[in-house]
Amino acid sequence: MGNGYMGKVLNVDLSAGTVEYEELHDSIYEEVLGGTGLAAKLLYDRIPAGADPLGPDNVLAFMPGLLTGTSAQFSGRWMVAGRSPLTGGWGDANCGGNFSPAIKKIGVDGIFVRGLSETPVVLQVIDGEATLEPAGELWGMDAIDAEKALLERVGLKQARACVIGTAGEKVSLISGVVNDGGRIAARSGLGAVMGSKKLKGIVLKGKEKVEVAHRDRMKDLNKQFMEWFNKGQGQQKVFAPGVMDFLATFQRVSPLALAYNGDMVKNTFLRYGTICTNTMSSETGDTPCQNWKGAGSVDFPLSTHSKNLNPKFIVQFETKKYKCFNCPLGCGGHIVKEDGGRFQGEQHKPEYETCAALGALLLNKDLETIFVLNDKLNRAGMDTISAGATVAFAMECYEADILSKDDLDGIDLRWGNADAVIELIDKMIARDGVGDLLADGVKVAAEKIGKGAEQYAMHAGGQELPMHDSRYDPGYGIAYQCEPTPGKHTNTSYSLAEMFGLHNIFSSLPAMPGVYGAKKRKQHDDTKNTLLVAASKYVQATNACGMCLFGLQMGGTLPVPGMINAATGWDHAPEHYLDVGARIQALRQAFNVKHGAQPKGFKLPGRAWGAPPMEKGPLKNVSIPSEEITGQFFDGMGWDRETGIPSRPTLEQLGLATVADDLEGAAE
Amino acid sequence: MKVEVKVVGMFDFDMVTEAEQLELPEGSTVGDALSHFHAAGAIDDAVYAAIAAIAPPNFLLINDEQVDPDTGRQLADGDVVAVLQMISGG
Repeated sequence: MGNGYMGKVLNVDLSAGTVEYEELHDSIYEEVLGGTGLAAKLLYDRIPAGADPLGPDNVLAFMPGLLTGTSAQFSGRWMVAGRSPLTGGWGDANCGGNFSPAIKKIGVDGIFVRGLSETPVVLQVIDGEATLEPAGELWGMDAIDAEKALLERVGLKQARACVIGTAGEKVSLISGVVNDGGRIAARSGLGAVMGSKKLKGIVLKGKEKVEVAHRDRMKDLNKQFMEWFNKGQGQQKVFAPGVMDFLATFQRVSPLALAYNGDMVKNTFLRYGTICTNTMSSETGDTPCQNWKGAGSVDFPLSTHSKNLNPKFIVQFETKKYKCFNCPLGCGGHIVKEDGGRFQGEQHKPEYETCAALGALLLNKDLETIFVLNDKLNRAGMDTISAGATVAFAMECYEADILSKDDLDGIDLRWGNADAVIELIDKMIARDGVGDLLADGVKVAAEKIGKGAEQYAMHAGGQELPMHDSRYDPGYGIAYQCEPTPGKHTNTSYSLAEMFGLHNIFSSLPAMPGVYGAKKRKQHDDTKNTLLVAASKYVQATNACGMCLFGLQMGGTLPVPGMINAATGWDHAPEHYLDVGARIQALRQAFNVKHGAQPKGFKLPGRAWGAPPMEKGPLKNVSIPSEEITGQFFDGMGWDRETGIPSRPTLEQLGLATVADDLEGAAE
Repeated sequence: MKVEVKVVGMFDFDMVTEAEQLELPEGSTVGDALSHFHAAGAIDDAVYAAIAAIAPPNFLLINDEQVDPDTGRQLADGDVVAVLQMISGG
């Protein structure tokens, strides 16, 4: 009988040129599951305090999910983790595609890479034989070409790879790791760690099978979910525009139920993917505009600007849907443009975050620019969120005369100047001239520039803020400031907690109140705090399983706790997995403290909390009591209200007494 | 009086991003504005049916301020009426 995991990891030392397998005890999986949970547990112990993120002692982990390969729906994401050179603390990012099952197929629950290679190398694991091979001609190639060349080199149809692009090679602190022809685990700057190690890529091919404890139970859970998932999809085909309007209207008579039961996410993401929100988020105030100082409805108007990013204009170029491993949704897609526009060729459909960071954030209304930059940044392996945020920072510095045209190598970096954006991002990718100044993100750039530039650097703990405005949904602000990986939008928020439908999974939790009401929407209260905390824990437990956030957003219809039990043979109540998530969160936060990245330092710029309040648009006069609500969140997590450090009682309750000892020792 | 109406969201399994300037009689309400918006051809019958009651997850903004979804609310010259939808992206 299997248990969903492989029971061992692969340790690679690039300095010594060694590779060796290590068996893990069953208890570690029950403690932290797999994925980033397992990485947090092992890396907390194995990376020495203060290790240089770009030095030999940093360990970079490549992790599949605990449920990857078990047939659980939405379980195909893989994760990269290590000490982030961007924040100085815990860094992780995850990505879809087909790389996660490839890790499982070589028979491991993670690949851990330490040391530095003197020359560019590739880790190759083919049918049980793990070797380090010269990267050769791959070094210097962009990520898409390099992945293709690497797969051609091994010549095995079933092989899968991840690589860095040229940005990672040049150790840009806003670079990530790329797989499946341009998908990217973008955040936390871990592409730079891979580049510092001169590890161009990893190519894997194996035959190991993932065995589960209760195959029939897993089958039933998948069936139960897919019955819900498939319900209504036929309607979409029948309800072509103008056909059977009456029935279509009937289906919408209870839109509140639509939101809570996940149909809304399913239907919109099926059709458009994440770009479904491009225009509406700009109008509602969800999308930060003009480096967070503008208002979408005023400065990026529907009639002349945001309408250009209408998802309908993008999906007209979609030639096929793209599904990650074991995904029934397929929010991704391949774009082919042969219309004589600025971008010609094929690429992954841009995501909402990309469109917003290169659109409203820069007042750039030119959709063609976004196609061009999506391709350039995916090939370079540079995070589109951080790249857009860095250009926005530079634009505001230019407007404020902190950066002159000469400083910008002659680029006229006015808001909305699409040509200038392309020119600057080309320079950032190449680390050419002013591009070298900006290639490490806003915090590093602001420190180098001085002259008050820091006031325009929109980051938390060094990581550029993503594209959901914390004045619109203060739950995002709490996540950006309080989560162990600051500045990420994939952890918790009011919107996420509502879409997760946590009360449908955990009987102890209430439903999210007041998300739509005009008066209470932005107000924090005990119920919202409880759900934000629960969502934060749940995301960590599900990340550890390799689950996709969009599966979770379907109103709690995806039975993840039951799937974990079916795969492993355990028999835990759903609430048990919130405790596991809490343990992973505590380890991630303890990692920060161990490495001197103090959580209280992850503060958002005042602008992101409405200090001072905006004077126009839907976020006019919104001012969020950040100290109070972040304190409440820390209370809910069992972390110190002022410092954000997990308390001893919390750590002991989670079985982490030795971590409590470490943290007290570090404080002395 | 002049009123601008904007409707943005996923309705009838389709993405709607429409804005229109309307000339309305004095004393017109939010409901009247949406009705005229529909009559002007900015949205079709199905979309109008979906937004007419402004029930969650749709919500109402008047001059960029979220207000209770009261279709009987009277409008003033220069008002901007927006029916939007709340859904989070990735």
